[in-house]
Amino acid sequence: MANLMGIDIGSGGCKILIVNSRGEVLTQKCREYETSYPHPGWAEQNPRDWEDALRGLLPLAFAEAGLRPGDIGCITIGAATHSVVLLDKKGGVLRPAILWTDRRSIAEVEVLKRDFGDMILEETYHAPNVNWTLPYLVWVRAHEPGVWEETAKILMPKDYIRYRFTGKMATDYMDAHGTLLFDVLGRRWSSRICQALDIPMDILPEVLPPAQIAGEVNSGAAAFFGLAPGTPVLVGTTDQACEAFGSGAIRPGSGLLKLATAGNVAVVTEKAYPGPPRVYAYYHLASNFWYTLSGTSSCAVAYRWFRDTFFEEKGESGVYRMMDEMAAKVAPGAGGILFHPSLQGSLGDPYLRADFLGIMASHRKEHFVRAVLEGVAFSLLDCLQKQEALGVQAEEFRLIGGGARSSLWRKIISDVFGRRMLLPAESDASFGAALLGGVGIGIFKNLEDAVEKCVRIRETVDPDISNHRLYGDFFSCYQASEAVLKDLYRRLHRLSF
Amino acid sequence: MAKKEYLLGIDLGTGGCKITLLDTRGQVLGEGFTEYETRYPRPGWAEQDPQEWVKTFRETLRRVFEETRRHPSRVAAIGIDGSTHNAVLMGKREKILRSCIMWMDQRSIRQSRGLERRIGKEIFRITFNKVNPTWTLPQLLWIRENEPEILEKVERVFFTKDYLRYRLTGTWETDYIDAHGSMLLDGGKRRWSEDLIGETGLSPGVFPPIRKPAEICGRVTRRAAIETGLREGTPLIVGTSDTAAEDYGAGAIKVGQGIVKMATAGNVCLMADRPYPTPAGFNYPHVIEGLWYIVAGTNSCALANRWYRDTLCQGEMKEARAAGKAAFRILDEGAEKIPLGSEGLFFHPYLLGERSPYFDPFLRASFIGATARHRKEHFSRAVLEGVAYSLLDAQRVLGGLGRKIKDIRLIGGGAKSPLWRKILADVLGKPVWVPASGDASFGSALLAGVGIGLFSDPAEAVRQGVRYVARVSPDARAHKLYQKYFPLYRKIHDQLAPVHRLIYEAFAGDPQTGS
Repeated sequence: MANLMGIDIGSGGCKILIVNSRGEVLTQKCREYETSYPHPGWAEQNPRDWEDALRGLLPLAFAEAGLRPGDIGCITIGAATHSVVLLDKKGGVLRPAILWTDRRSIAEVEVLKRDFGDMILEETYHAPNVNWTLPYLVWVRAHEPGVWEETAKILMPKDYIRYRFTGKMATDYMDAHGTLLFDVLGRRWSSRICQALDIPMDILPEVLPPAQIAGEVNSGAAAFFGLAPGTPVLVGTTDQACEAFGSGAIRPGSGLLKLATAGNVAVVTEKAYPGPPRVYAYYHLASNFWYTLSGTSSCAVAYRWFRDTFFEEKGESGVYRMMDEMAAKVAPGAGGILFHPSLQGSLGDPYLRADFLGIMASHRKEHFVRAVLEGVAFSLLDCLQKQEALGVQAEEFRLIGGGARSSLWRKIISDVFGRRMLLPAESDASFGAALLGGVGIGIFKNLEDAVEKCVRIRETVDPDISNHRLYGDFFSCYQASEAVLKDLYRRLHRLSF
Repeated sequence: MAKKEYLLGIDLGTGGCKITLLDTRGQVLGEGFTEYETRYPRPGWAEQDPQEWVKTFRETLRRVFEETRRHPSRVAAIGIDGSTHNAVLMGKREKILRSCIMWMDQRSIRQSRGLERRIGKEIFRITFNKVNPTWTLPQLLWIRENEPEILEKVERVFFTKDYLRYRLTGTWETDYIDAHGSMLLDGGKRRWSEDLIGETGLSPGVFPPIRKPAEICGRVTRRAAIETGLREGTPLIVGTSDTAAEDYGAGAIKVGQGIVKMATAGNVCLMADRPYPTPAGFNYPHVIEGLWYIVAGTNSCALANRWYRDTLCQGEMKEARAAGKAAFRILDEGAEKIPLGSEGLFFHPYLLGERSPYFDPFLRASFIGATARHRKEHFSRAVLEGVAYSLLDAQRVLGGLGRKIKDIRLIGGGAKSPLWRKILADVLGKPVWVPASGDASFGSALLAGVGIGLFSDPAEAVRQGVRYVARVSPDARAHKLYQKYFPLYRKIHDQLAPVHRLIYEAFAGDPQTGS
């Protein structure tokens, strides 16, 4: 029986998961790594930390699953998209990876929008923004010319890990699309954009379909990571695409709500809805469909930040349970405290920050905890409403990401959205990646077959209508204050904070 | 008879009871403080239990005498003050009819609006002050409308200090400063205004006789002597409001001197030669005949830091217990490491709405401008800075009257923090003097000395008794930075005020609010 390994290189940490051909999870291991914020608005990680985390986790995963490295049929990697690793011509890492949550390229984006915005939108369906790869490259060229000079190839995080496993440099359509350098209809690198911006095309990796085998684990990597030489490694794809697939969202109208470091709302659609700011059209793994996505850069990270900032029990997993219990004692509305979770700006407005409004002397810590959960739910509803304005429709959502483990948060989100929420038994990107591997090596006939055999729903949450009505009033306050705060944060930025 | 050698000052402040024991030259022999609870039964409400004041007073008194190894029977005179114009309503057989609605209570918003609309100008003319929920008048009107059965039973009205004095002497009176704060006094004539009392539905006879703060008005009864250890017959002066006592005790006795008080509530006071009626500040007579002081008060000052500690700093409190030091010190040590401006994190301390300069009961507190980089220490500093901005905001009201404050005497619990003093001096851009004892109880004890003729007059008592422990000069560079940030502090207030109104409306009528 073939076992399938899925790996996810996420924003907060990495995961390894192994399933058998019935989709039963044999092991699941994760480890956090550091994000450094060298200046306000910057966010970087060291690719070496990803490797070390994997190297540490692999033996644990094999031990728990009772498998040897040779029992793995194939490895498929998913990862946070848009983040970029710069390599020199020997394949060495030139600088820390710039994460997609980084906002250093505000000035570059202004220029890209002004001078190239229309062309980029036409070619990629996307407008320039600070969270995508191209502005980072332009920033590096301007601020770190020595690094740029030596850059021989760029890779996204999953491509980097695959490269370290196999020696093969490549990427897939979806990650390529996320760079702002991809011709979305032609499915190839955009020579038009590269020419206009003077980006040498030879630094861009070859683009392959996600479910194709890209190479095999080489002997050096086998020794370093503890894998079996010759294990097939697939091209893989973005974490989002893996999650949507792995949680079973493969038909038009099916919605996905992700509560991870970042949060997003995705709805599978039959056609692309390109154009409007902050709503993104991406290829779906099912090649005839798309999904429409809008997101926030601070979701579960806001809860984690609150934990790390205000709870002394640093890093203990039981703290979240304690926080949930505190928040559950407070009625919907958190006594009037409103939290805006934009700790790292928002995708549309890099100047935004986080805030707590409406605080009174009677408020205790539990009100703050609940306000964080509710504020994040509001930020996600805001995302959905942008899509609904285009005509996108979704009746129910699959909840995924670390935050979905909180039953209180599931309830709050269901009440805020006024929709049914489904909790898939497995939803991690690493699970979708593993299933994708199964499609790639022929264990499953196709995506539908894999979903039918492997995806299970663990819980269904229906909204409480009176809570939904109350949240509606409060959501108006959330939106009205955000409009005001946009202006204030611009002023704050001008004071050079 | 043993020589009488001590002066005792009692302060029933908003946060707790403070007692100061002086020798006859005005030097501090000992002091004690005990907190009592403020209850917030609903958002915006704030109440205290008068019995709790008495109980806390007795405990504190016993401790002070134990710790100083002195004997209470050798007290020569007692001065007393309290947080101002909180009405204690007494019915038959000395029964307290309801818990005391405090000056920071915001429940009487609607009544204040009604009064302002109908007779606001008239009130301003008679009392020199503008109607808002802090005053006794609108609060009594709230009781009239919501608890008429209580109002019917009122036989006597006391203010905070007057109730405690009553329990010691059995006498019933108040001073002209506390009375002025009720919004029921004709300020020019120093007489109860029958027209304004008429608004409350109470009869003028339930309000106490009005006397001068330093007058001897009663003596400790036998029963009180047994309960407290004080000698029967020890004289008490009428006393006054906490603010009047502390301005005096901090040595502000000349025109142009300023006081900043960082207590539960904050305020900025300016000594003036006459009342300067302004809708943005309060005018009160000073204990020195002919002098007035103008107060611009904020609602949440040290309260904000205490609330912050109690609400969000359980970790530091635990650490403090283990290390045997104050949690505030640990918070200050963290805040000290953060650059001026808290890297863009702003705190607005309107936990109980705000008085000067906004007089907006709908305002609420906020933290604005957090990023992933912001840690606990940023929040700790932002709270200190936010409170300092709010005091600058209040001080500008007085500046607007055209009388510049020359220097500041800093008092209240917040003055104990060297970091907070520094931040305040830098935000205000004025030299800050810290009196050795900035407590109202110290001022009250000095005033008791005046009452029994120990000092020739109030000014002489200050010359003999007041010492300073620190003088902090503003740093020019820091002041410049704060001046650059302050307009944004203002702007954030301006922009969020309507949002907070919206939040209030979204929750109006929802009994779960604040649960």
